[in-house]
This record gives sequence, structure tokens and C-alpha cells, in this order.
Amino acid sequence: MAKTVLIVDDSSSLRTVVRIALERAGYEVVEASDGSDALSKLEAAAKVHLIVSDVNMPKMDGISFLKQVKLSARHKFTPVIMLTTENQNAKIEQGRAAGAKAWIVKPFNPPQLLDAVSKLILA
Amino acid sequence: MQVGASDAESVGTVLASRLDEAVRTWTGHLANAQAQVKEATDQLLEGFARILQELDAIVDTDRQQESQGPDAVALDQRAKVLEHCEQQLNGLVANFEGFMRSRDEVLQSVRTLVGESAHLRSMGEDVAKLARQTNLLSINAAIEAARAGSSGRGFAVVAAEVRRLSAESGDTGKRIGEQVNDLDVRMNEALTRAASRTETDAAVIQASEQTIHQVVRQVDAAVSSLNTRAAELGARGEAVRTQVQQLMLAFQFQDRVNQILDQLSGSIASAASRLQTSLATGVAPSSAEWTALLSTGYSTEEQRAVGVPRAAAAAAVGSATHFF
Repeated sequence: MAKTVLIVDDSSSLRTVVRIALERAGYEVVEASDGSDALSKLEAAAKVHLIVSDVNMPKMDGISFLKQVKLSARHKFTPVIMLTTENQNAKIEQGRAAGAKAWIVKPFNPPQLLDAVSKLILA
Repeated sequence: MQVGASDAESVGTVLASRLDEAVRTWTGHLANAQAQVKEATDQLLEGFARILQELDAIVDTDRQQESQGPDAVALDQRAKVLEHCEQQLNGLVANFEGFMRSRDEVLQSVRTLVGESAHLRSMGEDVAKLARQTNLLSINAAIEAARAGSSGRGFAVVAAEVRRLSAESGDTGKRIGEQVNDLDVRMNEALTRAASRTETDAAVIQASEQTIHQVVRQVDAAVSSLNTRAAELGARGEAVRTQVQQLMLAFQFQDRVNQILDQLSGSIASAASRLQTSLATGVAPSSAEWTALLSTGYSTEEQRAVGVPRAAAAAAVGSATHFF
């Protein structure tokens, strides 16, 4: 059975690029346009095996969303990859401290993302 | 509106108003540009996604056939079909060859009969020879009967009858010889015609075999050419698919551009607000404050690299995966 990945990004074009990369690798994808939308999608989804989230988003940013996920009894063990244009050490450290499992700086290439996804889903 | 020294309205108030108008105009244009780029990017991505799906259908179908073994199974199947066709066509030729063999066997029997005809002729000659000797014997018997006078009269009748029979036997022997000769001539004529026909038929069969072989090879070449073409198309499809995937990745620019424009829009508003405060208070922001204000909200290396020497900016960009 295909694993489900939740993509959280306010850019629809970025979500499309990530979705196509993941779907072509055999994953099922759920999309959300910001942290708040992502929390709703998480509650609605039967099972999410991994989350790929942007950092800078309206309504609820990626770090705040990540903290909410870690507070959720149901989803706190779901691995989260931050996929963002941010590559400042301070931001990366914020992500690590909030519980992210990996940090990928955009622009990404599909093998790089798929490598991280497969490693964390299997872990 | 012209602003003069006598105007009741202060220059500061007018400038603040102009600045506010400029900010709304610029941010409006930026938002407009962002919306257009987003709409166009989404449409292009949607289009590329559909192209990619179509290419998947083409290339993956082709690959599926390849995975079943283009060189092993598909080619083997083709070879089997052609081999089957060739066998069936050669089967027809084999039937024809069978007919020829049957005819040859009949002809061989006829040749045997021709050989036997000499024996029959000899037997006919033997009959004629016996008739001649019997005739001489009957003549001698008639002479002896004449010498015996009246007592040999009965024997003379027998001698006459023997002579008549020998004459008939001689005629029969002659007719046998003639019939055998006639049969011999007819059989030899038949053999000559058959020999000529056999050569023609052999040539026809050989030509048929060559034609079948040639047609099968031509069909094989045509199928092979089609397979090669299909493989080429598959490879080109794969190349186009890779290019489309690369092009789709390039659309990540929209996300980066959007973030830069979002920051720019916010920065314009913040800068204008700060300048309005300066106009009201008459105190300009410090260089450090101004730099910090303009760089607030930077999220990409490109933004941070503005005003930084090019080499230093390039060195700062990296996209490695950090695992925690």
C-alpha cells in the first residue's frame, strides 16, 4: 500500500512540482497551502506517513506548524522534512529544535527529496 | 499639486501623502505581477503535468514491452511467427514435391516395364522361331506321309494341321513382337516427356522456395525496421520526458520570485512608513536601522546577496540536505 505524504506550501507551483516528484515515486500525496490548512488535513487524513513543509507561509508558518504537530499525540512521531528557501543556520537550528528530521534548501531536485523521504519513512 | 512656501499645508504632509500613494501604486503593481506570474506558472505546470502523463503512457508502454524482452521475447515471437509462415509455405512446396516423387515412382515402374519389354520381344521371337521349326517339321512329316502312300494319308492330315498351327504361331509371335515394339515406343515417348516435365517442375519448386525465402526475409526486414523505429521513438520519448521533468523543476523559480516580491512589497511599505515618521519628526533613520529595515524578511540567499560582491554571494548558496 502506498505511503501518504502531506505537502505544506503556500506556492501552488512548488506543491505541484513536489507532488509530481512524489507521485512518480509511488507515494500518495495530500496538499495544504499553509500550517493551519495542514493541521486540518492531518486531522482529516486516515494516515500520513511523512510531512514535507515550507517555512515561510501566511496564516501559520512552518516552524509553528511543526511545533503543533509535535504536540499532537496522533502525529508527534510523523517525520517532518522542512523544504524552504531559508538556509541560515539560525533558521535551520529552529527547525531542528522544533523536531524536524531534515532540512532541504530550495530549489530542490527530486532525487534529493526522494532520498530523504525514503530514508525517513523507513526509519 | 504645486506646493508653495505660502501653502497652508506643510511640505511634510504632502510628501507623506505622495509617498503613501507611491507605496500603494508600487505594491499594487507588484501584487498584479505576482498574480500574473502565479497564474501563468500554474497553467504551464498543469500543461507540463499533462504532457508528462501522456509521455508516461507512451514511454512506459514501450518500456513494458521492452521489459518483456524486446530482444528476447518480442523478437523471438516475431521470429517464431515468420518461421511458422515459412514452414506453412514450405509445406505447400513439400506437398508438390510429394506429388513429384509419386510421379517419379510411377515413371520408375514404367522404366522397369521398358526393361521387361526386351524380354517379351525375345519371347515373341522364340515363339516365331518355334513356329518356323514346327513348320519345317510339318513339311518333313508331309514328305514322309507322301512316301508312305495310302497308309500315310492320316499322318499327312496331321502334318497339314501342324503346319497350319505353326503358321498361326508364327503370326502370333510376329504380332507379339510388333505389340511389344509399339508399347516400347509409347513408353519411351512417355518417359522422355516426363523427364522434360521433371526438370521444369524442379525449377518451379526451386523458384518457389527462393520466393518464399525472399518474402519471409523482406517481411522480417520490414518488422525489424518497425521495431527499430519504435525503439528510437521510445528513446526520444524518454529524452523528452526527462526534459519536461527538468523544465517542471525550473518552475520552482516562481516560489522564490514570489518570496522576493512579497518581501519587497513589505519592505516598501515599512520603508515608506518609516520615512513618514521621519518627515513627521524630522529625524532620519540611521544607516544601520535603514539597512535592517530593508533586509527584514529576507529568506533567500539572492536577497542577502544584493549589494554583496558576486563571488561572495555565489559561495553562500547551497542546497544540501541536513538530517537531524
